[in-house]
Amino acid sequence: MKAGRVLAAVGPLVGVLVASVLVILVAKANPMAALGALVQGSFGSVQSVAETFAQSTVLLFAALGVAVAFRAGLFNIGAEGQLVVGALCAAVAGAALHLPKALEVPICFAAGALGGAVFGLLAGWLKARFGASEVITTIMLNYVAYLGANYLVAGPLRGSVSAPETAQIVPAAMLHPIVPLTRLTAAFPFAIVVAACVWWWLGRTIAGYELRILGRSERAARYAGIHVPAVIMRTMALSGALAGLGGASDVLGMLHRFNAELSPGYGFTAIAAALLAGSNPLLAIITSVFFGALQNGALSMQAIAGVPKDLISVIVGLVIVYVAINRFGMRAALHGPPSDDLVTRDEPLAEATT
Amino acid sequence: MSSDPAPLLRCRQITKRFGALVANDAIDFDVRAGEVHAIVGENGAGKSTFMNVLYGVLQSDAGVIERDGLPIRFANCAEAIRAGIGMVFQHYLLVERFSVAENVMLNRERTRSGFVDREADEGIVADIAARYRFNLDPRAAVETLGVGARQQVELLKVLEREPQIVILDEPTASLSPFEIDGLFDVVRRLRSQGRGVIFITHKLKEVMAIADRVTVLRRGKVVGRVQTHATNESELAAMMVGRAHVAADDSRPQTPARNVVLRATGVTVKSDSGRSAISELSLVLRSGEVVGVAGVEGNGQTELVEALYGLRPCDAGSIALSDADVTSAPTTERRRRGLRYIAADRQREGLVLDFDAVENMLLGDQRLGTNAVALNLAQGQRRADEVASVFDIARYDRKAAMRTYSGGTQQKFLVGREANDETRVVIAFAPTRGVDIGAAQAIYRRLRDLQTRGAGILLFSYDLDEIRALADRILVMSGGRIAGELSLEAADDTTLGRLMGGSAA
Repeated sequence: MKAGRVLAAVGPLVGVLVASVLVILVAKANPMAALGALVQGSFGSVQSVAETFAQSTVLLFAALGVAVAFRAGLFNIGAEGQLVVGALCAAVAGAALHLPKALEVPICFAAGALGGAVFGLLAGWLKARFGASEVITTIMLNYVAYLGANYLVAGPLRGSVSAPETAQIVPAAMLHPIVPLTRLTAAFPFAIVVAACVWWWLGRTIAGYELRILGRSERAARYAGIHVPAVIMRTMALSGALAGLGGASDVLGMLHRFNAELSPGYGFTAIAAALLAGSNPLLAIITSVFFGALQNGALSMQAIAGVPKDLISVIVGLVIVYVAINRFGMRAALHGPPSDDLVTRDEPLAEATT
Repeated sequence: MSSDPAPLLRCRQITKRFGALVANDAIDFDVRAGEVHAIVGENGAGKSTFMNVLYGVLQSDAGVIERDGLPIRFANCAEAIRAGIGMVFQHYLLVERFSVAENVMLNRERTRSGFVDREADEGIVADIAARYRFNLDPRAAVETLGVGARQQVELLKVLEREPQIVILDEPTASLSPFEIDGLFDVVRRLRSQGRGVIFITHKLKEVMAIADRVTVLRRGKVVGRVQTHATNESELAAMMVGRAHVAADDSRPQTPARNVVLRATGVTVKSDSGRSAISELSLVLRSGEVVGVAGVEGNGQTELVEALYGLRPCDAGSIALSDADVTSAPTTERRRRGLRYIAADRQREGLVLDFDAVENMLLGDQRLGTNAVALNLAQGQRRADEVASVFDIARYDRKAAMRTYSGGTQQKFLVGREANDETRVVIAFAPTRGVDIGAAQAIYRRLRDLQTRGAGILLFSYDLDEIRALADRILVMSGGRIAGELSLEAADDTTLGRLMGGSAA
């Protein structure tokens, strides 16, 4: 990681901070008090830090999924849907299986990853086979996941009389808090390990290398003997699997059952976190914690400074806008800098740009 | 000639540089009233750069443009348009959903009380279309039109402003023969109206059919200017690709040709548009020899390379490396058998500009090692270091992105990667295009080493200098076939030009 990249990730945060102050002023609150409450609420005590990390966990898994797809030049808007499918699979496995904890937990995570992978693969297959834009298909598949899960928990998979939910998972499948009185579980350190693994996989394995070549130039990928459709499908499956792990961690660590409303939009905030991290899995840890902290501190900000917690959504939106115009914006993340074809199309590009 | 009026447009010593590359080197050029002046040259000869200077898209670094004898400078296209210059680009710039009239009148719409007067616009467009005998409905949406009609819309956009000088950039590139005839009628009409037409192309037949004068560009320089009636296609072809002025190679190895390392038999391949690009082409490459493939661009060279390298399926015929049939083998399998490719477009095909040198040195070879999981960065590092030291690469930094090196250095990395100990056959496509002389010599040396070690080299180039500097024998491609084979001694300009022009051997 170069200093420039860290700076590029931190720079927008400062800009967002300034914009946030303005937003808070518009809401007629004291910016210092509001931001103080925000920071206090997210990092002020051991418990609040732990809760911030807990809030970041699902986000980090999903952000890793989005980042991996970005690195292959694919815009996976479907992390939300893949996460929902993964959560449902983990909840079903967690309720149905009665195994020792050492088996039960990994199998539930695997079920979540598998569910997300299959759902991601669907979009990948549509792109590889028919050339369907993954942007469109993943957006649409989000509805399929959400409404499909809604139907299942209202009907065939309903395990609760009081609400459309699955049955509670068995105790062996539950992750327990590692800091008392918080929801921070082993899922968070697990997410960090996964982030490190993804970082290593992208940089040091042949499969990760081929994925990155595709992300930079499809033609170069073809000339390097890479079977492009296979890499697209593999990437979308991996991307979905990571989001699915996020869904599983939510079920195993926090909710202990599945209902279709379980995600407050993790899959979409994850896009912002991945973009802000420049699709770097290690930086995604930082950006996910940043967004987790915002979510977590919002309640304190509302309680202490009287700033509506929904204002946090505005601030998240500002981050996305900032990222979109930043050099790590969507275009750069997907395609690299724009080329000026008009000027150079007759000349070798290098000479024209040096 | 002193009795001639001042030309409509005259350029003196136009020079345009991109970094170290001189895209236009002191170009003199003029176009007179009632004249069609063609500019020919291969890709990269500087044609489009020159046009962009004339049209105000680019500003020259040196030189003067005169309009009706008065010096003038264009800061942008708008100024060029005001000076009476119109340009039809090779790639059409049309709004698909808009009608013909809306496209033509875009930003010049007639208005009535603040609203676009659609009927007035349509009337104007119908008038000009009728004047040039275009069969176009001004109300038709552009998305419903074919290529030829779209070009007429582009022409109307230009003609509506009544320009004195019309630039046509590769106007026939995607037209059918019938549509080309129609375009030529328009060009003749413009000429008879006393306008000047600048016609850019690399199709010599068209030059002979429509132009009054021809200027030949090569490597950014004017290498010839002739009246069309005083020349022929063969002579122009020879001018375009150049005479052998590079010092003859002194170290040409005299290895007797040995076993066949690459054999194509009756290969038939389609182009992207589904037309036949190569038909029943056969060639043989032996160990230790360099076979040059000459020809005017667009005669099936790209498709042949892609077929040999495994990127384009063969509809018929077979391809073998040494004794192994690889007709349907994927690229990785062919690389495993020692086939390498120095890509025509190093920046989009051969290298990944955002990757560092080490990772670029593994491109294409990533699956050839024994470890099926981990990327062999150590091998990449060794090769990058080796290439950097053999090619004497200045300011070498393993971790620097390939983008940060000059074009010539990028090409050294590419050639260094593809031409190494494991290479048995290398397809080199214009390996020294756009690089300086020093880099070109280093690349030639590397290829010579390869040849000495017994590899076969299939050298594609549009530049005869390059082929003459390396090849032992020359195949000439024309219309998707091998039009003839020549020994180096027999490959004089006339013979090559005749073969490239499509005449049988």
